Amino acid sequence: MKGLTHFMTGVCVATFFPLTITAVYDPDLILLSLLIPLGGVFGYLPDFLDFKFTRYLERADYTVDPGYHELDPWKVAKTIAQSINDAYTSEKPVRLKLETLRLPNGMWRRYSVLFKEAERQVQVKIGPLISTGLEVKPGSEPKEEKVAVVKYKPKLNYSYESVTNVDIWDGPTFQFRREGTEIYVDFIQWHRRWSHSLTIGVVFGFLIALIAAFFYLASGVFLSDFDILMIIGVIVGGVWGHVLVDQLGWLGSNLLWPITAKRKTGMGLTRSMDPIANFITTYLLTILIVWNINRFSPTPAIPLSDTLFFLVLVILPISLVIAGAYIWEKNFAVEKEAVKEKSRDEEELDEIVREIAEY
Amino acid sequence: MITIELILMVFFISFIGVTIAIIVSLIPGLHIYSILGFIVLILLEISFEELLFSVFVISTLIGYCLGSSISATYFQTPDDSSIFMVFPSQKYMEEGRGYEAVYLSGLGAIGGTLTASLLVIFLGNYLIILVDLLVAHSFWIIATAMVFVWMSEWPKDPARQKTRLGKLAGSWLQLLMGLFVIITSGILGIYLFFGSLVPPERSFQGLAAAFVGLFAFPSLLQNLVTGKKDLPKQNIAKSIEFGRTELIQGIGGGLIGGALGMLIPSVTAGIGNTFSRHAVAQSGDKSFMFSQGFSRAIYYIGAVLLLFIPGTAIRRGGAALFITLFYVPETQADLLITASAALIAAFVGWLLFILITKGVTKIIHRINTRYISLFGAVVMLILTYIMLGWSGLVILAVSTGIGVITIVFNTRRIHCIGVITIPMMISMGGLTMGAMSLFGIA
Repeated sequence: MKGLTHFMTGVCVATFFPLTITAVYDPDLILLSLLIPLGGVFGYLPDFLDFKFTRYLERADYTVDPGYHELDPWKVAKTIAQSINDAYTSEKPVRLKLETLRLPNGMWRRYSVLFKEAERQVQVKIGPLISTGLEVKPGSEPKEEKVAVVKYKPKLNYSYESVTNVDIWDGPTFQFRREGTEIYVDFIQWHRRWSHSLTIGVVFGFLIALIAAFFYLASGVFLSDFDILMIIGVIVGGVWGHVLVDQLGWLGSNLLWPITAKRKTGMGLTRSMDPIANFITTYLLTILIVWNINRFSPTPAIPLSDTLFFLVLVILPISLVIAGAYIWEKNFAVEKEAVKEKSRDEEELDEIVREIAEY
Repeated sequence: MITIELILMVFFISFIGVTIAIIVSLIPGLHIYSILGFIVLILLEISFEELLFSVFVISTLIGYCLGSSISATYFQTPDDSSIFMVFPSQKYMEEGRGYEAVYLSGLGAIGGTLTASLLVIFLGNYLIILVDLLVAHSFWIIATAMVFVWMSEWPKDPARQKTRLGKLAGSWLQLLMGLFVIITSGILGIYLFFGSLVPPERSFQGLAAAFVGLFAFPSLLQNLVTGKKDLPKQNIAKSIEFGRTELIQGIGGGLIGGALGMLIPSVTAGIGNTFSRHAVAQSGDKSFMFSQGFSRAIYYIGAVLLLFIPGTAIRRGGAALFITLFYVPETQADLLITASAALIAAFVGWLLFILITKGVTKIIHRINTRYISLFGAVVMLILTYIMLGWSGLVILAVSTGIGVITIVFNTRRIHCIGVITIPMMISMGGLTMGAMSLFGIA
């Protein structure tokens, strides 16, 4: 899911603790309402850690790009094949980073990597120019097709869609590791490991509660058990909310790190860049926040019963959006097919380009 | 009482307001609030029909939404609400498609004006309930918004350093400078809100000067330093490809972003857009530029119209402040007349906008943006000096310094919005006295 969806999940969880809402009505307690943005921070934190720390600290054995002036797909294809072969012969994981090609005026040169598993070949093709907004510039492909095909030795087990486009921001990474006689490929292997686990949520919860208790104690205030449980609840709820929402997608997370070592495959119900899914989730979270504010307020401003509230503000509009989206897809079959073709690795690439409208 | 004379005057003032605003908004860096502030000072000395001033204000806002999209695109000088628009439109300019960029954001502004007017007329009572519910929670809502704005910034460093720590440092330099900008602009805001840098009756002009310094002046300086750009001749497209999916995403993103800015104190359209782009997973330049125009109009027009919902007097934004200096609207008729004026101004404004955009598009490749930027800078300096004297120029200089940091370190320019969000948070959290004591404000 998009960052906002995760952030709002944490915010929403925090508003379920009545004191975070009622605190605003008491000048002495108003700072406690900052637990709500704190919930948002921890709702967003797993991705923040991955994309703003882990990916930079991850070691790469090979780093390659096709060059800026003389675009050379052979260099990339040979390096990929070399990485696969090395992982097989050394029996140690080999990590490969594909660099993006940034050009002036918010443009990038796309190149694509295709694993032909049956032929044990990797194909690299230089593509068109593409904007940061992912719009392809028509007619910008190289005049002569630039394709390189290189063979690798071992059998590859690549569970994602075979084509990976390398285009904007930071390029993708692959980890090749040997299991028996095969090489398994992990796509952006640094993502959704320890940071996306239920255990790290508990660790953060207790750690922050401990720090808060210490600081309050230093200023002569003794936090009650309820206060401590509330802090833990807000933080654990934020992180767990993130992990569980991500589990609705394809990639999944390493839920019980460090007991488990691999990501558990997601339910595949949605894609992280799906506008409808993001909109509905964010809308639902917003309505839940408003509901909490209203019901915990001394004088509720929305004069609706809970049943009517959810009927009018949740079920009705979401049904309309879903019906609209269904009719839309029915009437625009081409777009629908294009969406269907979206692949698993694109779902993961979506994670990287989640902020494409950043500008 | 509504008379034929009043109706004719509404037409006339709407026409005059939108025309003046479109033309002055072509001056790079000039914010319509600076002009309105100047007009307010004159009006304070004379008597006039207050409702017609509201009509004038709303028409100028529409003219500003349209006219500033021309200058923001062609001269790259945005305000806080059009800050995101600059980057894709810059690329369109390089490809000779500047007209498309301006047209789409202008079209969005017209759509936003219509939507804001209809929203307030037909759903005003529900909006009031929402505003009433949320107002007590502004403290944590603003904090939440600012935390997200900072956390969601994407490191733009291409991470080509040799060491892992080098890569980390490269990306975090930008993120930390973003945090620095939020804090420093917040401190500037604290002095502007709670200090006495400017006379109380001109306090809003102090904020306007800071906005110009934070958002527009750095771009003017950049234009001056980088020199003449050899832009290709711009093409006036006969038709623009804009699909239904792009339209729906643009409306969705613009509506959410604008509504957030309109309803929540100090959360401007710039912050609202940061949220809305995520909420609808927006991608694609065209829907983006359309939604920027759309959200700005919702934010500016909707915020003023909120003031006109009978029996509420919700004051959001600088334009509503100007109106309340003279009167507080009370009747449904006031709302309907002002909303009608908005629609008249939108119609007239659109025709003028197309005409002016075509004219500018034809000659823009021959214009030296350096001279235009110099002209804009001089106009702003003179206006600021007339309104606020030397203290205004100091505010302008300090805020420009902060704004320049965002360009140098490639961090989000919307971080400068700390100039209002931080003091508003402090105020809403009942922390004003503590902040004043901390910063030595008597």
